[in-house]
Amino acid sequence: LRSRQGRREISPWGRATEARVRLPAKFEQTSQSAVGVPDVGVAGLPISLSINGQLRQADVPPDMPLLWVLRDVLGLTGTKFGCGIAQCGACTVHIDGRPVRSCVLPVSAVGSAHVTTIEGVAATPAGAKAQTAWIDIDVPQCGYCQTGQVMSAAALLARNPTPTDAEIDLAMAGNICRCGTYPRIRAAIKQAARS
Amino acid sequence: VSRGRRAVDGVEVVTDRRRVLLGGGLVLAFAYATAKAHTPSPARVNPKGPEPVSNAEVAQVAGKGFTGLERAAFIRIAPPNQVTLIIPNAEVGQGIYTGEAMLIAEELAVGLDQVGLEPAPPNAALYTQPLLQFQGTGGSTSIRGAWEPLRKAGAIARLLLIQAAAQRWNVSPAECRAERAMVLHPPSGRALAYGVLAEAASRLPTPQSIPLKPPAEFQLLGKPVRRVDTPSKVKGSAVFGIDVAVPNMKVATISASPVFGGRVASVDDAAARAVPGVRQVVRLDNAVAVVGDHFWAAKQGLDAVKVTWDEGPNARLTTDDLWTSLDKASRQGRGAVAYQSGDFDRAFRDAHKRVEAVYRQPFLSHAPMEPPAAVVHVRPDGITEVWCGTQVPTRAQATAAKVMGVPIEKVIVHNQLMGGAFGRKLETDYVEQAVAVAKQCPYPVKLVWTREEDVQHDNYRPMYVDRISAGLGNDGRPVAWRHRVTAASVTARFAPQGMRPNGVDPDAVEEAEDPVYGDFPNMLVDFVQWTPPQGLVVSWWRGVGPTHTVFVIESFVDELAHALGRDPVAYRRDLLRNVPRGRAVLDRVADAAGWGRPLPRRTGRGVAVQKAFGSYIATVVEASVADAGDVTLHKVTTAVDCGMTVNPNLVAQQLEGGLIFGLGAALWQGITLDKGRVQQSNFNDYRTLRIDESPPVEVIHMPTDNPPGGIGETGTVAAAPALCNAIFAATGVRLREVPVDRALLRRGAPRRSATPAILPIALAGAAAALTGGGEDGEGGA
Repeated sequence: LRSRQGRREISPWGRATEARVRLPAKFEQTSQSAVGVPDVGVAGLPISLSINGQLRQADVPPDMPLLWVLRDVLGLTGTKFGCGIAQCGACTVHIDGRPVRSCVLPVSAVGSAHVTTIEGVAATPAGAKAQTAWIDIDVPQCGYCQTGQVMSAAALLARNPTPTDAEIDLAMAGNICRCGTYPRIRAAIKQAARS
Repeated sequence: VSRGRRAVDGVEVVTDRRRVLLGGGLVLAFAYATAKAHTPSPARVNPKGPEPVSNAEVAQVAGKGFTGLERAAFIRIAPPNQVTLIIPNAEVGQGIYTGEAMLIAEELAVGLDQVGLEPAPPNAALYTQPLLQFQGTGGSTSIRGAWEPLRKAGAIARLLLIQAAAQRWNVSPAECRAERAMVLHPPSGRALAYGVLAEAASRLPTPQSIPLKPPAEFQLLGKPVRRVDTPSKVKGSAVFGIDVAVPNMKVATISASPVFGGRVASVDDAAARAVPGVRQVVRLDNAVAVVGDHFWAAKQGLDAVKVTWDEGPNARLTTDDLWTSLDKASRQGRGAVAYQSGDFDRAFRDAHKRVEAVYRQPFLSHAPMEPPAAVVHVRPDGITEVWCGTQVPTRAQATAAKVMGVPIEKVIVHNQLMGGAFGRKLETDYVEQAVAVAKQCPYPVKLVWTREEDVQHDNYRPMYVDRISAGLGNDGRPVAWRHRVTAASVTARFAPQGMRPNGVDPDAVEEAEDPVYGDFPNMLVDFVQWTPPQGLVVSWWRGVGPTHTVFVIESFVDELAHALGRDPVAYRRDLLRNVPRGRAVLDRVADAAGWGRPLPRRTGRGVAVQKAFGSYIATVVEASVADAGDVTLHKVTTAVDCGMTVNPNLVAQQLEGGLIFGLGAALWQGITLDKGRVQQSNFNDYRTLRIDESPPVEVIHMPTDNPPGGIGETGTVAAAPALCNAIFAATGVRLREVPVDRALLRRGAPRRSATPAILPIALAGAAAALTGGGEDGEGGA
């Protein structure tokens, strides 16, 4: 990784006024089961998955990427589709704590491993720290990539509680943000590390 | 519903006594009807300059938008004390749900923690954006248009609620005040919630006088408030268009003709139908969609469909063909004059020094993180419901109605959060497709594009050829200025009523006809409209016109400075001698960025100044260039005077992100064609900046008492010129084309300008006189 001159932390948003706002129900997914879940007419045994500490079953083809099982079958839409080829990181989940791009992971490869998604990551200490810092620093803009960003950051913080700039760049370089929130992502990870 | 209309000072005022029953509670609703903020002007050829048609100038009259007043729908209050704000602009990541909610909340005297938010439904009568003249979100217009009317909406509601409380208590309204959704009567200690006053307030006439708080009394506006949508976006509960699920819904994905303008000739869908989970294969005129139980089934099915395409006339089209055609149009086309003063030809001929250059900019894809997606339910009762993120709700509604062959009243559009847009969701092609597919299905359908479909079937930011010449006087100041823009016109396609009668696309010449430096003497700016091959559609991209014009102007002003042996900041300070806001941000950023301090070898600083969208901004990029030509971004510093500011936190976000968005484009992005097909496909070959390539961004906010300027697109405008000027300072190579060509930047590479290999500028009357200056402004590394 290249080093950069002149980098310093910037926090013009550091003293933001508190604003707790409830968004109307239509902006928030309140249920974890999709109302539109199809009855999948695919032959074969349902696949059992451990997701966020719960046992879930899905009757899907074994080569179906975990992303689509989460989104289209189990209704866990916090995990996002961005590229389908493990280039953008929007689909990042944890498999036994490791960050994985679920858009290229066949569901059959999960086996008995524990899957953690954004909906469940707050139950982990690093995930809770990352989410708190993300909210405090006001990282998101459109927000679409941010769940994947938080998952990558939580995995980083879990194995390295005080990452350097270079370690942050290395761990987060697989997550694209088109809105360009990278400076705040760095600031949020550092804040989470201090907390 | 009774309505009265009357004219006040030539402004139509509409009063609407409609009351809306919602959830059993009588609610109070307010909104503003629209009136023309400006009308497209004819071409101006006079020394006073163009009519106020550019966004920057409209900022000056923003307070005159929404000139009719109508009680309708920005605020709903229901018992017990439920306050809902209807946000007229769409949330694409710019934070408008927060910014516009703050405008209403400030005057309504409610906390942001006390309100619910709803996106405005399609309704041109209520939500036409005064600067755009349609219901839309774009051009960094939202806050400029909403600044006064949304505060007024809040103030009217507050005044009526206070009046209702005063009547109930039989006291003077002057003894009452409002605070946190309550009306208080301090002398008696009484208090009533808005929710119990709403019914009585809704029966009161609209006050004649609507005083707004002076800025000194703002409690919310101007504070760096956190965004209202952040927690749900961090926790994964926020619902974007692509996340919507309705009962019994199936999922489709689609493949349009790989060649622009091509058509489906034949489809063999036997293998696709055999894919487990595939429900239906739908053939459209120029695309094939597969519907499945989930995206994966649909995608597997689509991969299995065998389509024969009628590729049409573009089957051999290449990007080189397009450049050749554009360049020819630029040299030989008839320019429509956007601005003219004095006698350019004579002044250029007689100038002390002459400099000229040709700049090229590529097609760009928007590539928002959320690929195009829409859920459509063609209901048995004849209503079509659409759930999608759109920047243009009324256009989405009209598009769906057209496909269905029904009046717009039969289409319901539920607007959703957008996972980025950058102009992509000003287009409704994905809505049109989703409705066309759902029309053929007995169940609701969610259409989701793959990323490849998105990159290869976007409506692209136009390719531009800009020819620019300046004659300089003895003091180095321009005495003649000529700028010709050649491109396909976005306005002519998207909003033809916005074209000037003489053929000028005001978007294409924005900031070119009216540079930040003010009018130069003997100035001529014109526009040549180039017609792209059929099927190639151009569209607005973050930063719209100024992203392209400011790159040209700010690169060229740098060339002038170097041709004169002057420092780029000092030269701009001189040109800005009559532009105090421009000078103030330039001085501030130069100081903060350490302008003039020594740097290591092949490292440089570049500066750019702008006033696009009514915000004065100066930016310094510090970058280095490796011997192999790779560019490293070290630091970006930007100083911004966007006038009165709603939320500095949002301003900082937009500058940080907009700069990184624009730097990524300048360093990597360009859509190219071969055999009529786009050669890029996904984030692997349509590169965007990653965190390990992104510089720290320091935003210096310098608020003033000027009217609010737009901010969402300003960072993107600054990025490319400041970067290319930094690269010049580091290497002595002037890049007149983006994305950056590393081969030109290799140490020891043949010293040549990065101007495309096209003929020198040949403007009518000026060509013969071209002697001094020359095309390469590479004198002052």
